[in-house]
Amino acid sequence: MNYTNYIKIDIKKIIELVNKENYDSISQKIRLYNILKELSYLDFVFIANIGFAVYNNSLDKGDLDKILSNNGKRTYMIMFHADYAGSFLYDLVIFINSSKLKSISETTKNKIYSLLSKK
Amino acid sequence: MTDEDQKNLIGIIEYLSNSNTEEAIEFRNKYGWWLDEVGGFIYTFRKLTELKNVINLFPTYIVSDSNSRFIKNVFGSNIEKREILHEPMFIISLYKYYRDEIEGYKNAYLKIYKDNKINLLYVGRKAREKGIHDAISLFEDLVKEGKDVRLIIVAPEFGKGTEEYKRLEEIVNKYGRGEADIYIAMP
Repeated sequence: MNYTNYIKIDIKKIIELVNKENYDSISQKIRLYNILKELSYLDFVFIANIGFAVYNNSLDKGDLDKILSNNGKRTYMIMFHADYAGSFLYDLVIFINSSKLKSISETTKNKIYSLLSKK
Repeated sequence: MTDEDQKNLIGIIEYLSNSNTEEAIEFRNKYGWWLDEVGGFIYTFRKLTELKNVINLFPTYIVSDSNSRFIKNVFGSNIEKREILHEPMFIISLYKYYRDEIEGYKNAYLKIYKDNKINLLYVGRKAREKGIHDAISLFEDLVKEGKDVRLIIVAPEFGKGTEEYKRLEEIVNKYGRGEADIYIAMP
């Protein structure tokens, strides 16, 4: 990006260039392979969301193993954002109420509602 | 959730994942993607129990307690180091940096609700750790004191069958005042 744009405070031009930088070519610059390769050199890894491996379709278990591989000296900090047992239960309640499940039994429904009522 | 309830939940998920009953097969056909997600979390949790030099950060004590017990109930072993960040402090920081945006949303709501009622706004899942029970208790206290109060809730899964919905109905019927406006939002 041209530094003179900052000096001139040409905001429109700066946004246009940032968008081009971020969305036109970033996939050409940083790939999962690069991230995994770089991680092998790092002693400290901060992961902002424990769900990172689940929500990112580009990661499989092998990649996760590489990211969390323990070389004995690397330190990880990992953020949990939710009560996952509670989230799974709420998801199940949404599913059984969605009317998409025609075969769901009263026994299973009652088990799920019973857990919900005690939460 | 108690340990026993967490184990029962795990039992239900395992049943839906593995059983050959008609309902479990249908569940896998419709919500196989969700079972894959849960499996992804379980796999990640197991990896964390194996790592010795990992610090696990949690926004509140309740989230820390629930997740660490859940992991122990699934694997028998637990994650070791836990740090609690105390989310209310985080929220204060959010207000500091997003004051203008918060004022914008507040003003948008005030355009909808032009009367002089006291408005309590709750946005989030109706989970204990998010404070839904505290919000309902506060609503009840104010109604009991005779205040003209409205509780506005924006949440996913807040239907008539839920415990919290029934509790709000009870409060309004019991005291003959108070208003609860519920907006169902997608999670």
